[in-house]
Parts: sequence; structure tokens; C-alpha cells
Amino acid sequence: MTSNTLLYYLVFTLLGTFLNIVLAIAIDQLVFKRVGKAMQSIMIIPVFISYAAVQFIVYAYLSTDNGLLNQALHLTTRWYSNAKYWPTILTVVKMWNSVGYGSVLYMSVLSGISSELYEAADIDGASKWQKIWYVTLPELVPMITVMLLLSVGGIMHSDTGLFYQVTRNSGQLYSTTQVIDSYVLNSILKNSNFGFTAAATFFQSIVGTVLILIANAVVRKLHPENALF
Amino acid sequence: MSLQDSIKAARLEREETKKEEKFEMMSSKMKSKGPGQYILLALLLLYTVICALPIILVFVSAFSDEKSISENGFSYFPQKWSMAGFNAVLRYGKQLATSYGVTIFITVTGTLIGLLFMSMFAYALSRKDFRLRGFLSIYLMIPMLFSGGQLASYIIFTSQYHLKDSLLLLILPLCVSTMNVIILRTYIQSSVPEELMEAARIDGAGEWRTFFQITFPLMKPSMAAVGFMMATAYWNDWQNALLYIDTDAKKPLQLLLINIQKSIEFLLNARNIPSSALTAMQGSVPQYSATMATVVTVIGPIMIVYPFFQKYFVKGLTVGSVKG
Repeated sequence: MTSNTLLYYLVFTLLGTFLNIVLAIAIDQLVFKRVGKAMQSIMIIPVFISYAAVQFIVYAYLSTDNGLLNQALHLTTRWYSNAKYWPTILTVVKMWNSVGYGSVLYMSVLSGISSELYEAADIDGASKWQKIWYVTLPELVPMITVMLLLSVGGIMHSDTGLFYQVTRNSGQLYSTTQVIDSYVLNSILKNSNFGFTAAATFFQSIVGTVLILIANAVVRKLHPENALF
Repeated sequence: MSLQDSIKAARLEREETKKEEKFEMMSSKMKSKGPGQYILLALLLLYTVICALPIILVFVSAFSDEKSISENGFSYFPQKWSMAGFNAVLRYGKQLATSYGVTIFITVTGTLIGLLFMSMFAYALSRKDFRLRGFLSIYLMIPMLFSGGQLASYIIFTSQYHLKDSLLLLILPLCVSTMNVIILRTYIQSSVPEELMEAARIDGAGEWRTFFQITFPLMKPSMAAVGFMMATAYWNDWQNALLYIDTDAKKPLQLLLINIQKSIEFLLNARNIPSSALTAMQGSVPQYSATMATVVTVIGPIMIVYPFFQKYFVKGLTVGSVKG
């Protein structure tokens, strides 16, 4: 349960941040602004769809008898009872859901970069990649630092909907999909085991607090201006 | 110069520099339309299609005939189209309308209240001469650093505040968040010129007036971003509803979706005894298409409204960038 929570946190945060930035820079670099904007609108839409609805979409793809995937590839895989597939499935669903939206925040930073910086780089004869590496990315660093710092506090927390709804809360998948948050939710709804649950949430909070304090101290040492406090 | 004049002048100046920047960016970016741009465009298009495909599947299956789903599975090209799914949704009709009302109410109310409180909080924190600044900063940080967690909130909300089955529990828990206040505060500190606020103060404006007439309007881009995030959180919140809401009249859309999933699973489970009855029922109860039709009615309107909202948040977020 704890290791699931930590692993999903790591994968989602690292992959998510990376994809957010790549997408933001890609759209920002695109000359066809009108098309870029339209595409961005479509990319953001998944975030409007709650996991309660996403769950039905995933089911349409993965249902054993009627799922698009099994039908199209002539498989008979029982996705909902095989725990080993779920780390990949959940990662794909999470990225589909959040990357377009996550990039908006970085886009807002990118659009705030003064054009003088790029002009100066042009005068110095910088190539496109050099401009991204030496001008764009450093401007994004404060935002990235803050976002990572904030997320560290939630290291023991997960996107509950993803783990509770998308897996249909299926007991057979718990070995790879049960995270602390979904365990807590289950025990509240079933009104059971409050003692252990309380201990689990306390553990979540303590670890989060300690980690965010450490992370902030590290950032403070390296780049004092990016620290939270 | 009066207060109004100085504000106007400052705004004009900002707009002019913005226009100049736009023009410069346009001219510098218009130069390059090489093959790289087309590769980039193709890649982004590919990703856009990947993002859209699952949503398209929902729409297609909502209009598919039940039989073609149960025999050939979900498909982008169903053998037969049908409206049966939507007809079945009409059975939920009344509850669907109620749930819409609840969701829209909590989204709008929550976002407005939250934005008002958080922007005022952020303004107070951004003022260096504010005496309680240090204390309030720490106070703000505590919930982010250490929270009681789900179980503690559940117990407090239900047995201390006695708010079970109350709409307040759908609004208050998501209303003010540390991260959003920090975003707003950072925006004020970095993008709202301090001289402007000082000028207003010298011209005799009180704190309220300075905030509402100068800082507040200049905060629009960050407010759009934060408001957008909040509205999304409210719209998508199913967890508080699942934990606290029992009455049908107070069920938001997301809880309705969860209930529908459960009732369909119940139908499926109840049916595994006589196989002949199973096939007979599959013909008459359009469960797959009906479910998808419900999902469409839940997410469809957002997609209709979304382009209008998008104007506010993306434009607000991309201040200074090229207009489309």
C-alpha cells in the first residue's frame, strides 16, 4: 500500500512535470497560433471529465467481452482481474487526464517571458534549441520548483479518483492499485477499522510534513529565491 | 493628478507596452516557418487526436445500438446507430436536472466565494507593512504542511459540525487552498507594480479601495487561472458527495454517475443465474448505450460551455502572448 503510493507518486510527478513542460514549450514554439490554440483546447478537455465518468470510458476500452481493446486485437485478456496491467493503465489514464491542463500553468509563464530575452539571444546567434535551453527553461525553473515543492507534501496522497473509480474499486487489483487514500476512503465508507485508518492518515501527514520541510530547506540552500518559506 | 487619472494613465501605459510586445513577437516569430514547424504541428496534432479519441468513443457508443455493442463490443464504427440509450436516460431525467442544478450551484458559489477570500488574503500577505503578515503566512502554511487527513475531516464534519448531507460540505472543503493563495500572492508581488498601490494610497485611497479598484482588476490573469482550477475541482468533486450526501435532491452529477455505475453492476450481478433470461434482458435494457448516454449528458454541456470560459482563462493566462 505504502510502496504503491510512493511509486505512483514518483512516476506521476516526474513523467507529468516532464510532459507538461514539453507540451507547453511545443505549443509555445508553434507558429500556427490559431491551430495551436484549438489543439490546446482539446488537450485540456480530459481534465473536465471526472474520474467517475473516466471510469466508464476506461471500461469501454478494457471490458473483457465488449472492450474495444480486446475486440480490436482479438484478445480475451481479463483486464479487471489482472493486477499486473494496472500500473501502466493508470499511468496512461493519469497522463491523458492531466498533461494538457498541467501545461497551461507553464504556458502562462512562457507567455510572460519578455521578448527582449529572445531578441538578445537572436542577436547572439542562438539556435532554436539553444534558446529553449538557455532562455525558456531557466525562466520556467521557479514554477517547476514551486510545483515540485508543493507536490512533495502530498507524497503520501494520491489522486483518489484514479485509484478508486478507474479500477472500479476491484479487490483483485488491490495488490498494485491500493493506495493509502483509497484504503482510507474504503474504510470510511465501510465504517470499519478506524484505529488503523487513523494511524495511516497520521503517517501520511507526518511524512508529508517532514518531506516538504526538507525539500524547502534544500531549495533554500541552492536557490533561496525559489523557496516557499 | 487625481486617483482615477493616475490609474487610467498606468493602465494605458501597460496596454501600450503590451501592444508593442505583441507586435515585436509577431514579427520575430513570423519569420520562421520551416519544415520543423510542420513536424511540430504533426506531432501536436497526433497528441490532440489521442486526447480526443476516448471522448469520441463515449459519444459514438451513446448513439450506438445496444445489440452492436453487446455482440461486437464498443467500436468507433458501430453496425447500427440508435437513440435508445438517450431514451433510457430520460428515465433518470428529473434526477439529472436536479443534479445539474446542484453541480452548477456549488461550482459557481464555491468559485466566487473562494476567489474573493483568497484574493483578499493574498493581497494582505503581499503588503510588506502589514503587521500580521508573518503570523498569517505561517497560519496559511499549516494546512499545507500538516493535515488531519480524510478520516479526521470526516469525523469533524459529521459528528462535530453536524453537516452530514449538507451542501455546505460540497462547497467549504474546496473553497480556500494554500496553493491558490500562494499563486495569487506571488502574482501580486511580481506583476502588480507596487508604485501603483503606493500612488493610490498617497492619493488618499483606503485599503479597500486600493484593493478593489487597483489590485483586484490587475489580478485578473491570475484570478482566471485560479478560478478555472477551482471550478474544475468543484465540477469534478465526487469524493465529498460520496462520503456525505444521501438525499437525492442534493446529489451532484458525479454522485449520480457513481450511482448509475453501481445500479448497472447490480443488474449484471443479479442476472448471472438464468442465461436465457440474460440474453433476453440484454436486448431490452440498453445498459451500455444508456450508460454512455448519461456520461454524454454529464460531460456534453461542459464542452459546449467550455469554449466560452476558455476565452477567459487561456487569454488571461497568456497575457502578452500573440492573439489567435
